[in-house]
This record gives sequence, C-alpha cells and structure tokens, in this order.
Amino acid sequence: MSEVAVSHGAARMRRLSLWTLPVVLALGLFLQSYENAWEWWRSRELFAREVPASAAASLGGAEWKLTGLRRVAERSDGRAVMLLDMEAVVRDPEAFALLPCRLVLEAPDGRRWSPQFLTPSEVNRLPERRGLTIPTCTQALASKPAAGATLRIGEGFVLPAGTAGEVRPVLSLPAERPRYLRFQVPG
Amino acid sequence: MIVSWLAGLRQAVSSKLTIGIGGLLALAITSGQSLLEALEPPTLPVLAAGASLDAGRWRIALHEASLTTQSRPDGPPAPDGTQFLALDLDIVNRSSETDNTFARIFIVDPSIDALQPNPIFWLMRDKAILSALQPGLRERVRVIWRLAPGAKVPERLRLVVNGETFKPRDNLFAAPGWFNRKPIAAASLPVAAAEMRP
Amino acid sequence: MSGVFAKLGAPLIAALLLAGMQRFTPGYAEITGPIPLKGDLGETLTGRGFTVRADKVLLAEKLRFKAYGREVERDTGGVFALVIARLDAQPVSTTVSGAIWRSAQGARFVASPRFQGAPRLLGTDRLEPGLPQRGVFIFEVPREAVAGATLLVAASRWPRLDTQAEIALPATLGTPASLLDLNELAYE
Repeated sequence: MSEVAVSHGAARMRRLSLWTLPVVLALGLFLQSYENAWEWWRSRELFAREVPASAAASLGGAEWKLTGLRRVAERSDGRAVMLLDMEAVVRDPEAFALLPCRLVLEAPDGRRWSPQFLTPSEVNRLPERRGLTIPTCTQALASKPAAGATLRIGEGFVLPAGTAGEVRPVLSLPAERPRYLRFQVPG
Repeated sequence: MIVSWLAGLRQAVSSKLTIGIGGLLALAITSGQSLLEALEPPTLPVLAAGASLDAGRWRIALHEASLTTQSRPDGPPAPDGTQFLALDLDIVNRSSETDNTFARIFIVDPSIDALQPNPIFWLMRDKAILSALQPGLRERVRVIWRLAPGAKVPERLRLVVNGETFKPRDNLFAAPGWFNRKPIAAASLPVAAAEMRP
Repeated sequence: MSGVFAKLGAPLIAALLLAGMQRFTPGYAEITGPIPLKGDLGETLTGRGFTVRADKVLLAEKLRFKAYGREVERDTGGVFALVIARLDAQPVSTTVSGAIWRSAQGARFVASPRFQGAPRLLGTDRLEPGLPQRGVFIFEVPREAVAGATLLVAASRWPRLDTQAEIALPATLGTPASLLDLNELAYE
C-alpha cells in the first residue's frame, strides 16, 4: 500500500483534513461545555461595583440603596447581632423577580456571613421596627412587585463582635451575575 | 482474480452465517427467558410469624398484627374513636449504610381498602417516629395504619416481603448499591382484636 | 506460529485488556467523589468550606438529655459513640451536616437522628465564620464497630468533589459508661 503513489489532490485533501481535526475537536468541546461554562459564569461574583455611602445603584431591575447597618445586640458569648436595612425601587419587575437573592456581609479578609432568622425579641428592640414585618430580600423578590414600587428590605446577621465594625453589605442577583454590588457603610 | 473473488465470497457467506446464528441465538434466549418467567411459580415461600427472614438488604421477623385505638405506641386512644391497625416487627439493616428506605420492605397484598396509605413506622425503643436504621442493629418497629372511618375491619393481613440484592458497581455510575427489588416471601397474620384499656 | 498468534492471541489479549479496564478503571462515583483530608484526633483540619478538630471519643450505653423542657433517656442495642469536636466555617457561612462513623469493617453510620433537641449537637445549626461551635457528634453503632473507626466530616452525607475530613480514631477505647448526661458533658 505504502508504495502506491498518491495523487497531488488527495494528499492536499488529507493534509487539510488533518488540520481541520483540531478545529473540529475544539468546536465539539465548546458545544459540549458551552452551557456549563455559561452557568458557571452566571453563578460567580467576579466584578464588584463599589456603591458610595448613601447613594443608590441599579442591579437586577431595581435601584438599591443601603439605608442602615446597625449592631443591635451583643450576646454574652462574643456574638454581635446586626440588622441591615435596604431600600429597592423596582424598575424592571421581570428581572427583579429572579430568585434567589444573595445578600451577605463581607469582611475585608473575604469572610462572608449569610443572613439568619432572628428571634423577635432581638429585632423588636428597635422602636421603629416594633409591630412591623419587614420582608427579607428573597421574600421581597418573591412578592413580585410592580414597576415603580419601593420596597423596604431587612436582614439579620450573627457575627463575631470584633468584625461587626468592618463588614460591608454585598448584594448579588442572578439577573446580573457575575456583576455585583458592594456598599460603603456611612460613618 | 478468481482467488480474490473466492475469498470475497467466503467472507460474505461467513458473515451472513454469523449474523444468522447470532440472531437465532438471541431469539432463543429471549423466548427462553419469557417462558421461564411464565413458568415461575406464583406461590411465594411462606414466612411464619416470628420467623426471621433474610431479605438481602434487611433481615426481618414479623410478629403480630392487632387492632388498636392508639395512633402512636404510647399515646392515648384517639378521641373520635378512630381505629388503627398495628403491625409489630423486627428489622435489621444488613447493608453497610444507615438507611431510611424501610417503607419498601413489604407491601400489603391483596391491598385492603380500609387501610389508609402511608403508614407510620414507629421505633419502639423511643416510642418515636423511626427515621433511620443503623447497620447491624436490630430494632423493634411498629407500623401503624389509620383505618378509614366505618370501614370493615380486615381479619387477616397478608404481607409480601421484598428482597433486594447488592451490586458492587451499578451500570450507570459504577457505584455500589441495592437493586432488583422483588417479592421473596409472603406472610399471612391474623389481626387480633382491639385491647380494651381503661 | 505467528498466524495462530494473530488469530487467537490478539483477541485474547484484547479481551483481557478490556476486562482489566472494566474492572480497575475508577467509576464515575469515585472520580467525582469526596476529596479526602486525613488527620488525627486533636489535629485541626482545614477543608474547603470548614475547619474541624475532633478532641475526644466517649462511649456510653445510655444517654440522657433535656430537650424542649423534657428529660429524655435513650438506650441502644449497641453502644453510643460520642465524638467531642470543634467546627468553624471558613470562609463563608455553612452547614456541616455529613458526619459519619466509619467502622474498621467499612460500615458507615450516619450521626443518630434520635437526639433532636439535645444540647450542643453538632451538624444541626449553621456555622458562622469566626464563631466556632464546640459540641458533640453522636453515633449509634454495634460494639464490634467501635475499635479502629474513622470519623468522616463533610458538608453533606455524599460530598461530590468537596472536602471530606477523615479523622482516625483510637484503635482501642475503654469500656462504655453506663449512663452519660449530655447536659453535663465537658465540651471545652
């Protein structure tokens, strides 16, 4: 077989096929993993937008504003209880209703605390909260508000007393990941 | 020329023969299988009350079935006079994992209309709802069905016990697991009348 | 000779090779399984989402505790194995709910669900970074499963491509206490 002369055209064809193979393989890999890669990209928090104190920033179909981050109690075992208050003005109800909401407190070293359910006794210590039920972020998103609605959102956190002064709220929504917001705390 | 033509013919004949024989063999095996399934004895081995049975994933012993007015092992009688059917049994988890699939161990066959579905399994050691069986530890369990109000109370409870077999590597993930659940024994227990408790 | 080899030997070798590959290539469940992190009693192990340190193993035939204002006593057909440990979330809030007692024979005992409401039970509450929990994992095992066991700790019972701490426990443990009160254990 090897001695049989190959015509010029056939040799060119074979070379071409050989060179197309890597391209086809890469294309196949891309088609196979495209969805996974996209999902990974949309689940990451990669690009933070710093929001100056008492300014509003738009994310996921709403204007978000930090209205308060206060330490409301300190437990005897060195835990601080913090309450976070946000305000959201809905612009695009469809994008806004995409769950879940990821609203956490972040320390400068990268540690993050997720919201916790707080006992009413800890929350109701604040006079302006007495008798009020303020929805959490996920509850607010799930309530499917109309465009133009202004929502008050409250979350509770339990974290070490030492870090309570240096944490900053971080908000990321599925509609706009990998972009997310990091709020500057006034004062 | 002739030689190569002959060789080609030989190859063609042999490949056709292989295909034909293979097809016939496959046909014979599948018909044999269905024949065997049709011939399988419809009667299952009888499991006597109190006797212990190895069912692969579990070892069980059925004790007694009785009518009761209590919805839980240590509770007071139901206020509205509802009746319950209680079945006492021992279960040993023979697998190597903590397990909560005990609801699959047996089925009531023929089914009894008076029994409401999804009975509750109680761990008699705690008089609490059974949530998991640890490997190798025998537990006394009481299964309690709620009886439909006004329903005719069954006289006998026939149970078909299921067995499962262990596969060190399953076909999909090559992970170990328990498969091929099938009836391996049947037991028929008399239902004792409700005890009168003060 | 070479003709015979080509006819019989090559398919035989191919069959052997395939059988070997089928038998010995790790399965999907193994490839995507837990990532082990081995350690000993008293050693702090840092995993992807948490740190764990097991300090002490206790055995008991009966356990007593107060739950929801009621005194509860639990007995067993085997023995209760308690591991006093410390868990911390690192770097984000997380729940470590996959604690398993793996016996020397290979049986896996998930932490007993019979202790709901018991004090300082690990694996039930969420962990917050910087707020370590010291408490106890409680297992219910047959007596022959006590010696030479391993404590497995992970975020879930079946971690996939995630840390699973494997803490070697002592080869021999003393005789079980007849009764331990979980409210009076020394956790610190």
